[in-house]
Amino acid sequence: MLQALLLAIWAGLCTWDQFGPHLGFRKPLLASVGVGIILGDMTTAIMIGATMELMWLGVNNIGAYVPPDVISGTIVGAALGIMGGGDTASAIALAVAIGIPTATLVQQLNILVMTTNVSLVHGADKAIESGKFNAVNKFFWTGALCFFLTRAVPVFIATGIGSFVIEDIMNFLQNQVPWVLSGFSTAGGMMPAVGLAMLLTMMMKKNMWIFLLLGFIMAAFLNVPTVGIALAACAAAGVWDVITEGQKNQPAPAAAPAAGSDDDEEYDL
Amino acid sequence: MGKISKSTLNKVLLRTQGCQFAHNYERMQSLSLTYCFAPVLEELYKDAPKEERVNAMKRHLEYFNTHPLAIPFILGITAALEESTDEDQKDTVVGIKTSLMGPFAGLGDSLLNLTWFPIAGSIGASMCVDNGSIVGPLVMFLLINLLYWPLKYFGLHKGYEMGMELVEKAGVQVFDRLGNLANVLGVMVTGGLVATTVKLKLAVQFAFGEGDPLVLQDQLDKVLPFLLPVVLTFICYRLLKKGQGKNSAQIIIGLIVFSLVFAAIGFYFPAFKIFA
Repeated sequence: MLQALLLAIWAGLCTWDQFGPHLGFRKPLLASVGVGIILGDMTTAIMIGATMELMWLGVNNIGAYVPPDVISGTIVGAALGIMGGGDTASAIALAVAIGIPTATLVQQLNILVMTTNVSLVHGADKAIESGKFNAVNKFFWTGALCFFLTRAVPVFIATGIGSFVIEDIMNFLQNQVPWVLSGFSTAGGMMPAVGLAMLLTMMMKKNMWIFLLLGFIMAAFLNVPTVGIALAACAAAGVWDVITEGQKNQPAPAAAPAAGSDDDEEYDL
Repeated sequence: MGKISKSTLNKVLLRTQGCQFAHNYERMQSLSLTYCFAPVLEELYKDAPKEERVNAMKRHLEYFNTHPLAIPFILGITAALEESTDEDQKDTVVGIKTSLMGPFAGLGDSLLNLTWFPIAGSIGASMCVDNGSIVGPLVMFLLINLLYWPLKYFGLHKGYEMGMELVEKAGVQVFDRLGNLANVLGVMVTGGLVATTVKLKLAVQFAFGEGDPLVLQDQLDKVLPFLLPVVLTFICYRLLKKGQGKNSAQIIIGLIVFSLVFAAIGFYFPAFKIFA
């Protein structure tokens, strides 16, 4: 129970990171570190976190879109995966099996709170109208508390109840229907395709296939690690900029020098 | 210039660490931003009549939504504008503040959310997915924060010092260019990630009499390594395009059902095990 409470608090804190400082704890890999500390199994927690990080790589808040909640998905999944007491591979598969539905459920809660929070802004309207400026703080922190609870409460319930039954479930899965875990293992391996496809739907514009292909070739045939691809991509972006800017300047060579000097701004990517 | 003290700005910086705590569907970040910006208004309107203070708070409670990392910078510019305008010019303050939110939201999403976070995450995760090493999360944490804190701190202070000058000097087309650069960077890294993160392999083997069986996956690898991940990603891409990105939950559930069905078939009829 104490563990469930600590996990719930950790989930709430990670949620605050998502709505506030963006330190990175809203992402599975860093969220899983807290689970590792609380449950005392850092290695398994991080392996689960890394699997989920890759699985949900493309899951991101873009504009007003509310994605599946990877925070509660990671924390509940990793916690129960570890509590299940199986070997590492089954722990990861179980974590994926639990994490995906959790993330989808909490996503709905988030949408709910985004809606109920509308009343806060109306409350603040009235408070300001009557000159009670400090009341704004009260409404602000109420919103913060609501978001904290959207993750903390589900995590508390799931890990609190889950800790009693998860070992039996794990035994049942491993001995009676092992194909469920292997199925989720396969599904977990396929999941990144959804996230990456999601990224691509937002990034594929004119001519971008060139760079998609380049990145793929470097990874698939040349085995360049991601850091190397990212650096090569910086260079490619630079070349691309020179080409597109060159094209823009061509029709009006007279205006080019003025625009050109402005364009020498440096890019620290 | 310079009426607002550095400590007030730092208070704003601290408060912007909760810049979406009161997020809601009607006016998005407005309530949180009012909370973040309140120290500046308090300082500027210390001796002003109540009516002016009410108006000041009210105009910042209007709809606002941008990328969280752009908020310190925009608030810095807004602080400079609030300070340098008279009471009857306040419409321009709100106007400029609102005009900044769109471009920065787009830039932040494409540079940071779509590019930097996936890069940091995949580098970190690839260092620890097989061995659970703490180095992975540590690297990810550093990659994110070594970029984010300077953006926040200098964003706010430079934004206040230089005001609109900074944006005007750079010009709006800089947003487009930076966006395009981020696009190239993001797409290329994503291309690599398709090969390294998507895992799908066939387990089908054909036995012809004696000798080694024909392993289908080996044959596929000779045609094109990572053929299945590429095909899978492409299918997901087409489906997402069709559903305009709103059908991701259905696709995920579909993949799970698909995997479970084939896992069950593979378990009960080992001869028909399709996926490894």
